[in-house]
Amino acid sequence: MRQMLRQMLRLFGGILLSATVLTQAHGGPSVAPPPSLAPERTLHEWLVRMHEAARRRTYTGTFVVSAGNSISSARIWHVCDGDLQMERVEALTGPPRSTFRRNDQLLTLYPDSRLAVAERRESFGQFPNLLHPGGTALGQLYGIRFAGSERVAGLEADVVQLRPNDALRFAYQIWTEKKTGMVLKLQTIDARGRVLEQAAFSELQLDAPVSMTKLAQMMGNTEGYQVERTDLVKTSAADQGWGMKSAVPGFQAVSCYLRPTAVLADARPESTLQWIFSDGLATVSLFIEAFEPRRHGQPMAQALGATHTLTRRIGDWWLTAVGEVPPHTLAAFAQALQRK
Amino acid sequence: MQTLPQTDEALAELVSALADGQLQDPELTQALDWLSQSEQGRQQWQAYHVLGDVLRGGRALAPRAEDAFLQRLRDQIQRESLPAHRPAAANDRRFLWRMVAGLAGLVFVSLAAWQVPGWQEKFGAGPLLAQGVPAVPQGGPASAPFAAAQAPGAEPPSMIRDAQLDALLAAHKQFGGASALQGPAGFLRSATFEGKAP
Repeated sequence: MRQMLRQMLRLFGGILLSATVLTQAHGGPSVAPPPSLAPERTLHEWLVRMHEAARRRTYTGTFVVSAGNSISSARIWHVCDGDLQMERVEALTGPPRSTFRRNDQLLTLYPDSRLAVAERRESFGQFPNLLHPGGTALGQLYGIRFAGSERVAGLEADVVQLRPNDALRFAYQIWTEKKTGMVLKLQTIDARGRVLEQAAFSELQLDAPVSMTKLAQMMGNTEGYQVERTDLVKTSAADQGWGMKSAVPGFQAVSCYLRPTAVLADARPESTLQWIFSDGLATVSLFIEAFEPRRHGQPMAQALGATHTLTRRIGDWWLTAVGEVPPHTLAAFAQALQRK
Repeated sequence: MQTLPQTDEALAELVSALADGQLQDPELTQALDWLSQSEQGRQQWQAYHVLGDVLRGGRALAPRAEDAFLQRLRDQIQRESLPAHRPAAANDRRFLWRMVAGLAGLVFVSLAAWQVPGWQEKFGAGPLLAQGVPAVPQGGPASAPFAAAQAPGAEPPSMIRDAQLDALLAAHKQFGGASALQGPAGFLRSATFEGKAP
């Protein structure tokens, strides 16, 4: 061990120096201020601030998501005028696609297949407490801790940690821009402190000149595209014959939809039920469809970044649970789900 | 381009000399060209940032794109050297040095792979190594025991993507809008996240 240490030190002495020089040239990692300088905000105030900043500001930037072994990035234009928000997201990795959003209206253009998918996302951008009247307050599920300041995408950011009070959810570390509260970086962290997924702006220009008219024109221009509407049918789990034996602590049912066959990758004779739960930060979807031995294999649990999935047969039905939660949380959902 | 040193050690010395600022033209220009003109070169410099940070601060203080790299490295080292008694703490000093050693090895192999002309064509492993992606086949002997012994909190098996699951994942991600962080950031995340074209 000692010999290895000596070798390492000799070999990397030079690198150390150069890394120091380079780090300094880039501004270097910021030094966290003493905790006494921490802005005094409650969990709710922090979240509202972040939420409002991303909605109310006009900006352009490059967003990078790293999950598992994959890194994806996209260019974003966001503009806000009163209650109207418009957004354009141009994927830089994977199949070429542009997503436009006007409040809850979404249009995704796939230039390769000349396909445009139009959809409406209900409850988009609503703050979770509005969705959880009388529910468990977020403050009971997560604790918040101010963890200093750092620079992200050239901007000074406050770093806050959200730590779950039980093992049913992940922790988050969030970098929010000091002046506006805009979320610059977000890490999802498991119980062992490993970063499962991170999303960050690599470059961000706040108050950039973004033309709403121009975005609206681009969104309206679907010439040469086959436009598909994927209208979801709103339903309730009870109407579809499903219920929960017991609630998974902290999670509440948010909405329930029937997804038409066209939305999904392969044609199937009947639609899939999607029952969505949220604890205010994490979301879990339970997809329920008729069991088909040909398509549905063994029960499985898998992970991609922070997103876990679990599949299980329940009588004549096949459940696929998906969520940004630990695998045992999905197992708790699968246990509690019952056919009425 | 003049003849390059052919052994790992010689290459390492050259890079070390470059990092030390000991190189003079034309070697300096040439070495800088190697490091700057390719994606591998950029990653190489990132690797050095991480190294510097690890050696100085005990952890990577430059949490930018290198985090993913470091995470992959950490995962791989964990897979390759997982004795039953190894303490789990990621900040274990011994583990730290092992990580540095692993990184150094990776850097050397990467340099060799990318600087020896014709390597990539000849062996076809160049890009893999140069990107710092562990060249151990998934499910191979190294990873099999690990996958079999799924201790609580162990690395979950990577996701097998098929069209059906992709569709459900996409459907799930659409509703990230139901939560606070996942609101605007979640929309961005789902729009950014690599999906399959319909």
